[in-house]
Amino acid sequence: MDLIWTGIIKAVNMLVSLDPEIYDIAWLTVKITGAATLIGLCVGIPAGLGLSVSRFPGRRLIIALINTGMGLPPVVVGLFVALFLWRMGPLGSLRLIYTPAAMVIAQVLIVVPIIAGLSLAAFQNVDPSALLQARALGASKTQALLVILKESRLPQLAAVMAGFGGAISEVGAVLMVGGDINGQTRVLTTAIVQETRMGRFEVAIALSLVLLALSFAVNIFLTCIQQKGAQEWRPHTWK
Amino acid sequence: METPYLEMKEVRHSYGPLRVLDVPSFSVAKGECLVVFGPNGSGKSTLLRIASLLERPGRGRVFYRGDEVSGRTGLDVRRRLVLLLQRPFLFRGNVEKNVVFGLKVRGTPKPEMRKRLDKAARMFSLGPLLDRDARKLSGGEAQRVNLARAFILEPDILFLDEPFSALDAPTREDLVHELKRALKETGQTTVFVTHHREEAAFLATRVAVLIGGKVLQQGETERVFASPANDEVARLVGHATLLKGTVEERRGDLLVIAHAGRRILAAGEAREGSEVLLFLRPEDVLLARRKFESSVRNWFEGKIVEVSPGDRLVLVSLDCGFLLKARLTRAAVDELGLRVGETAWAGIKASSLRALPAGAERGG
Amino acid sequence: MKNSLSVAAAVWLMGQSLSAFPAAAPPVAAGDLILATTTSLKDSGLLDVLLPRFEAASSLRVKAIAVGSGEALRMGEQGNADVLIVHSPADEEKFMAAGFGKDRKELMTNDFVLVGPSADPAEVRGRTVFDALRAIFENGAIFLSRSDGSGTDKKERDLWKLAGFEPKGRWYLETGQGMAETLRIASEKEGYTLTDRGTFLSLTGRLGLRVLVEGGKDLLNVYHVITVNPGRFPETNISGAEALMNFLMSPDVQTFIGQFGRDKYGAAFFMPSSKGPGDGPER
Repeated sequence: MDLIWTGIIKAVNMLVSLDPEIYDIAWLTVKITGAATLIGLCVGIPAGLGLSVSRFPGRRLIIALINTGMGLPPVVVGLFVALFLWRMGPLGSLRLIYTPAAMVIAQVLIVVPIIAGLSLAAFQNVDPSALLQARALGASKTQALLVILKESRLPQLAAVMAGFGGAISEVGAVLMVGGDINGQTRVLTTAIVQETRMGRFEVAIALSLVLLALSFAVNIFLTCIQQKGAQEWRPHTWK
Repeated sequence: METPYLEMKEVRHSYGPLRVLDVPSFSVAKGECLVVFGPNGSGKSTLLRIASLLERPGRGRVFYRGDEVSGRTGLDVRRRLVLLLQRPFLFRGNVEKNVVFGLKVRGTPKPEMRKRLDKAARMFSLGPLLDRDARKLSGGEAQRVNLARAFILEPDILFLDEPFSALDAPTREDLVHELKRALKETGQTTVFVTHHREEAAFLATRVAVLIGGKVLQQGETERVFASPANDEVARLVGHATLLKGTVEERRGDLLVIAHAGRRILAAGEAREGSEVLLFLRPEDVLLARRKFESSVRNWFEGKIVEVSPGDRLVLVSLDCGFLLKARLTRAAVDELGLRVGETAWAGIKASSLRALPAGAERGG
Repeated sequence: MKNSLSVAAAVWLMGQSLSAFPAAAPPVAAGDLILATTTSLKDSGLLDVLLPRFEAASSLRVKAIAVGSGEALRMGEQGNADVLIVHSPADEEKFMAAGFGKDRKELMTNDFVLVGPSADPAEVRGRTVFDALRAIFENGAIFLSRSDGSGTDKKERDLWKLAGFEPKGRWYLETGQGMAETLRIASEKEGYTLTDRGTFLSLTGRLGLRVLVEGGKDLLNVYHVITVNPGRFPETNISGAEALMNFLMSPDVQTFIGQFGRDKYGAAFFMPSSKGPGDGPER
């Protein structure tokens, strides 16, 4: 118990004194996970939208793949990306292994299925008559799709939050393709692992607090957008 | 003759193995309020979707203002026709956003939007509602917003799919009147679908009866209602089957029909000796305590078996050897002192009794 | 207003995030050097101090990847690394014999120690390592093995073999993890384990374990630095690899290595292999 308490106190000290190492690691985490989530958004939401309104042979198969992808172990993704990016691998000449770019690539592969899958479910949950009515009022196909997008805002944002959460919390993939290189590819999760192994608990706890605070801050922002205008009325019932 | 706004020729449509629409000819003329009248499942919604160019018919051709509609027909043409689905699907946002939705997707400039919004808001009394969350409206309010967002677009034809069927009677009545006022004010060409007789009668300049995917009769409202083309239509427009008889004689426009020893004078065309069904609307039955001389040619005496309650109109059922229903105002019932168990006389004009060939062909 | 603010924030964030990508991947690893090394070396913190110095002096950027010795050698065999620092001599010799490496130089040594609970149920304190292992085996005392193909793990298996025992049974726990984790588990379970002195020193005060057996040539842990053979893998950054090798073998750095850890833990972690201007003995 002592250890935990001293750890926390030291951690707060480090944070307040604006230890540069911690903030560099945190900033890199934000950049990588931010990029992965944004790319995941740009790919996942249109994919979910397209799948929800289209019909083609093999559609069910693709949806099943996406749903499987949602539960992909990050370390498996990391392994496969590494196999491609290693110097002697097929894409080795791109020299991307052990760079932040490789980490973004791996995280994108983790985030896209999550956002696409949840997005698709969100779109399919919108009453199809809403789409029909929009078109009956003169909306073009694209405009009608935008209506669906707006109608499903609540679960859409949940999808984004799930994607972001999946990326910022994973360690297996970024470790494998990034290598946790000090000053280059060390992010909060890999740093926490390393510091713990080296027995530097205060640092590990400090990093954990930063990670939690970061995650919380992003989610507060997204939650506010999500809950704006959501159903707030609840009936008074007899117990 | 002016080109009809919309014309459909030889249109057939099926959902899988089920044939839902079989319409050789259908048209909408400018300025009219055409009511498509039919029971549930008759294909009315499908007809509307095809007529409003939202859906392509399996077979057949559709013409808009004389030009045939094809895959190449642009969005701007489709935008001149607006369809409102049965339940008002209002989008997220406040009432104002919903009402101007159609204008927004058409890229209407702001000042024009403002002008039309004011007009629509006034037409449907939306003033205090504009800021409200569209999802939190009552049934009647939602339907007014629904109508507003359609009228604001001033489409060439407005298609309404049973907009009032989910509302309670008083709201329904208010909205029907509001709609009629709006139609009068704007001269909006409308195709209105309903299975409610009174609504149809009140709003329509022309009626098309759709049963089982087929248009069985089209024409001016009063003519269709008074002179149904066959027994299906007759039943639909409120005629109660009376009885079956044989044509004894033809006297000009009228037929003398023998039934259970009686001679009945009715309007219609049928060969002598053929079997006919006599149709009658309860509104056309005259009730009295005693038979009296007048232009009424048919009198039936019977015992009152039921007086069904109603606040303004009452349905009185008479047993004259067959069941005869008459509709009167409550005031009239009270005045005549009609009560169950008493005898009364029912008088029916020959012109109110329609004789249709028994087993009449289904068709136009 | 609120909308455009969020949009602006998102665009800015996106711009920042995309700067995580290189503008274009550099054609040759002109500035990059991939160093594969062991977790125990990384955990000691030595590289965290040496590598920045090296990077400042050269124009190279070192990517130090910490895996087990076994995996590091594999990376060398596949041409996925430029230079290796490992401590698994038998495997290293095979590696060199197969022609995967260009040069191999002894970098530094430290020693392994056998640690265990203060209570020392198997009474191994002060014995030779082989006697200690026998005692542990015969008593069925809890022993933790890394079993991860690392240099330490190899050493442990060699010692068992030399002692003449095949460790198996419920008392022999295989963690499959790094040294620090294995020590922690040993501490929790009050068991014995073989560890390099450096890692043990860095965790002083957090473990309930004591050094029970130390010293002797059998417990010596030798680190070598190996450059990967460019003849086999033309993409190898051989100039960078040799620069690092020379840096590590240079007298200043060697002296520094000899001092590392003294101020923090009271004892040096490593012993440098080279003292004079000439290089250490090549093997």
